[in-house]
Amino acid sequence: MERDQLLNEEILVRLCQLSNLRLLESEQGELLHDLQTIKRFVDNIHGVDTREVEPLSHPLDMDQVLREDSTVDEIDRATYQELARDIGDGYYLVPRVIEP
Amino acid sequence: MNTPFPSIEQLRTQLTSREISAVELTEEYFHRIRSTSHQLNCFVSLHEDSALQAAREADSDIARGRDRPLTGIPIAHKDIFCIEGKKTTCCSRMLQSYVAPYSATIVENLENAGAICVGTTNMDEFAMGSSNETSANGPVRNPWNLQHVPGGSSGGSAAAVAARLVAACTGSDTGGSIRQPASFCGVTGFKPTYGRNSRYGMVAFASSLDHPGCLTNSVEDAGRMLSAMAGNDTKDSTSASQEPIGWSSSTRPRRLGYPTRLFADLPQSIARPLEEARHTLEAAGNTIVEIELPHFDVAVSAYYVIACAEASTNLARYDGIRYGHRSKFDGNVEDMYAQSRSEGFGMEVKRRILTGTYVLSVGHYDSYYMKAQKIRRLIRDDYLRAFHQTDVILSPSTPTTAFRLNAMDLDPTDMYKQDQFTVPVNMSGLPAMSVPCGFSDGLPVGLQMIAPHFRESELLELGIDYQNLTDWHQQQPCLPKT
Repeated sequence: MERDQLLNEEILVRLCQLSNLRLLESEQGELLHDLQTIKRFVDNIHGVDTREVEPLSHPLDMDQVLREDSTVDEIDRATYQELARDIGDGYYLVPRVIEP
Repeated sequence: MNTPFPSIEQLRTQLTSREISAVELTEEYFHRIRSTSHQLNCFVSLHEDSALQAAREADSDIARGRDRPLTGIPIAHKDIFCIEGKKTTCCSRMLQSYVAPYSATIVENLENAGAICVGTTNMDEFAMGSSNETSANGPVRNPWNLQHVPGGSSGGSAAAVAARLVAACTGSDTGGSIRQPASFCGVTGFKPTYGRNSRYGMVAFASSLDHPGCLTNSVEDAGRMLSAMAGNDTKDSTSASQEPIGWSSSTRPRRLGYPTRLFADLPQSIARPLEEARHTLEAAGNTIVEIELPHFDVAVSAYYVIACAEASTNLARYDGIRYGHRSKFDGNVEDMYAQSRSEGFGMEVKRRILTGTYVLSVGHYDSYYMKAQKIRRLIRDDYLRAFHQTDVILSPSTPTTAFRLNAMDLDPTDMYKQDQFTVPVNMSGLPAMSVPCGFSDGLPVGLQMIAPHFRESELLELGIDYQNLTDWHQQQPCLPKT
């Protein structure tokens, strides 16, 4: 119960800021309820004794091989920029960040 | 064609003997797709012009004796793999108009092997789901019962293969997304070892768990697909350099690990076909060895912590600037990011991004994310220990058969539990496959087989042996006439 109280509306607002998401009013209640349910569901990991266990971030014990730092395939800028909504003079355009 | 739905090998024989041309074969598959796929909603796009052009080239290659392992074989790609010049949407509004500027390595490998891509298949949005109901293109229906889901996230691929609308499909498996739909649709679903297939050009969900693989009508077909797909790729730093995948036709007895407790709580309707499969394998000379997987019960929880954490990081790239959906409501740059992402992502994707952000945030990183990574090691070590005394581990693929559409709407964790038998395998990076082993109330049941890292040949050989003794993989759904 105490753990649920930690995931409240205030935390949800903060998570949305961190995630760059803006929820509709109709989504907020549902998502908060779902996140609390998911949190309760994953909380059983706290019952596992992991003292002296190293975290595993990659399933295989292998060295990461680095390739030579050289261009393999080149795709021209125009091809990529066709995927953007706003471009100009070869740049990606975003809303003004610094007011003149 | 000689038989209604021949294997890849049979199709290859027909093509090389000029009994049928690649163009005729491709047209035949498009005819099937047009007459059937609307009932299933399994395709997102069809590439008829480029497929027929490739078929003409295949015929020319065959005529000149320039034959390759999959020349003329019609396949489809899950909508998660980039295909140069074609839309790759991941069934998300976010990528609705994304046209890939390059091809995924496995797409190129299959093309170089001569396969013909007829189109792309429906899936859960960004591969997040186990029912194909989160797709922005609407749900796929199970060809064995249209009121039921096909599983997910590779639900479109599984349904298309089950309905024999293509000879084979690619899929991706982050927590069971190949094996679970394969089980629900009665086809073979193969997820090789992590690193065996390149992830380059596959839209990322959870990078340490994402495995490209395939869905086919038989284990032997899966072997042919994997042989063409696999290989070291310098464009994927986690790609492994290993001997090519091979298999032999000689039968040899194997030690089969049997985690009794995993089978204990299954409904009788699922337990019975799985028990029969075990007896079939035992009668064929294999030995059953009881094993334990002590950390199985916490695998789904630990998986969802890790998968959501990686998803929240990977999906941070969708900012509406360089590609992907950009909101018409611009405001300032922060508003533009948030509005574009909120309009572009569906609810399940938002749920996972927020969950991932939570477990990675200050105060929770150690207690959730690092804790889950430690449990990941315990889970992987359970398997490695079991492989000291076994060659292959048997397991159910799913806890139920395909459920009805909308049956899991109320609690997201009900859906997550669907993957309880498959997620520990992704966390361990092991090769595994689901093969059909019977039916319950007219819906297929799948048996999962798991092998040590890079021992795909064990699975292929055992699976081929099993399918030589049974005919579950040859059963075909009858779709209603429309």
